[in-house]
Amino acid sequence: MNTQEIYETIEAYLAGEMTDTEQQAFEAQMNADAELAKEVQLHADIAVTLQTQDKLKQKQHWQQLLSSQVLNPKQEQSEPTLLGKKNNWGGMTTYLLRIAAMLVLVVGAYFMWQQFSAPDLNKLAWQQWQETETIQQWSGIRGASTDDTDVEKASFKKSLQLYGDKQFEEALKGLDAVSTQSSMFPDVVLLQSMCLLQLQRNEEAIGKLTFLLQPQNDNLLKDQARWYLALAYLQNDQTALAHQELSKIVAEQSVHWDRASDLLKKLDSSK
Amino acid sequence: MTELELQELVNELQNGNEKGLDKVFLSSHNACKAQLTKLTQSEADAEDLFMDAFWVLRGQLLQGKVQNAGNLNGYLFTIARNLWLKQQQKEQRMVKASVDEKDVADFLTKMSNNLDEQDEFELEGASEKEQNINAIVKAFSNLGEQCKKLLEGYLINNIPLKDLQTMLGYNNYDTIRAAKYQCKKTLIDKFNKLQKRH
Repeated sequence: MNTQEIYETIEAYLAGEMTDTEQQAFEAQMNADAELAKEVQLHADIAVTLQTQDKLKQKQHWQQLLSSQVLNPKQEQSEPTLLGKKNNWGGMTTYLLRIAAMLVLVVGAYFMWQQFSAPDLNKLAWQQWQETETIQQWSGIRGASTDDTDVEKASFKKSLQLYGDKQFEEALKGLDAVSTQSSMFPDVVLLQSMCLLQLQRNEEAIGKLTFLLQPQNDNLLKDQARWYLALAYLQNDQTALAHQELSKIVAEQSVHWDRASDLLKKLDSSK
Repeated sequence: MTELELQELVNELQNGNEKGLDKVFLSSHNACKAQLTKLTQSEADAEDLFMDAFWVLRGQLLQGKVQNAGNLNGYLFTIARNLWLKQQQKEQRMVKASVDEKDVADFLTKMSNNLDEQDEFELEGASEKEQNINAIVKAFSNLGEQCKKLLEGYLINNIPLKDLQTMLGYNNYDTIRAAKYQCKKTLIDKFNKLQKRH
């Protein structure tokens, strides 16, 4: 049985899709193989955790919905009353409608212009950067290892804070305190490259991001690194290299693949 | 609700629009909760059960499984009653999850409270269960968008792969089957790497 088939068997077991005989046979296999039993438990943990996380998110949304209904019980009924005052506001409504129509025309013309004019790639990259630039990945989603010293952890935390406060030079200085042996080192390199991009030191940022993407550098930040690298190339007018990285993102369907796909279309249309 | 309205609701949901479902939620909440309070003998339990049942209903709508457009409230009550009965039974499987909903809910609440206070959640002193939950949440959040969509559909909403194939635009069943395996493998690899760090 290959790994894919093992996964499918585990999923069938957890979903209760096995016959009694199959279930007994699989349980006998787990009794004899502790690793398999551990793997089954991990699959079960994943399902419970992700389902509960989603359920909590939904419940929170519905609770807010109920609270807003309690606070604003007549909201839906109040709308027809407002529309009922149409006679008093008739002139104003027509006036507003005309302004809205003009706005639609202006916005339409702008989009037509955008369609037929060559895109400004630097501007496009900067816009994408601003929309996806986030330090949330470090705010609780990732954690330092127990081997990291308190000084290193504090320095990294301080640099994140400085980055948030737009003090990029100071953030860079703080990151020097983290050793290359630290488990936070990949995070440090990514944050350094983000600071460098903010300071328009694109070449240096590209160097850091390329380092993160080297096969021997095992880290969880490669998806983000590739996206930022593609944007850095674009900002540095290295469109062929940007194209190469964006194509990889789309092929691997990694982080921001949808944005990468849009950017690729724009790059191709600008040729 | 008519068949047509139900179909529209399903289409909206499958396209990520929750507004129609929010209206259904508000219109069925009071009536169902009153019935469920009789069943559970507790208003708080009834509220919880209603939310759980509505979450299941949402999943079934996403799967296109709901047929009974005429009596959604009745259907919702049936889901809730089955959930209530299931809660009273013990799981039959030999190996089951090491964490339950309460563990996950407690941990996520703790984590979000902690984030409000200090921007970064500290794992020092966290139990093994908490570390597992944390690593699963982190590993999932680090997946690519397409993998997230696929696993959300398959693992969270229990949508069959055959239906996800159409919803997510995969060419054929074997492609989505392989993609699902790759995504889950990536998730587990990321989980293992995170666990090694602690």
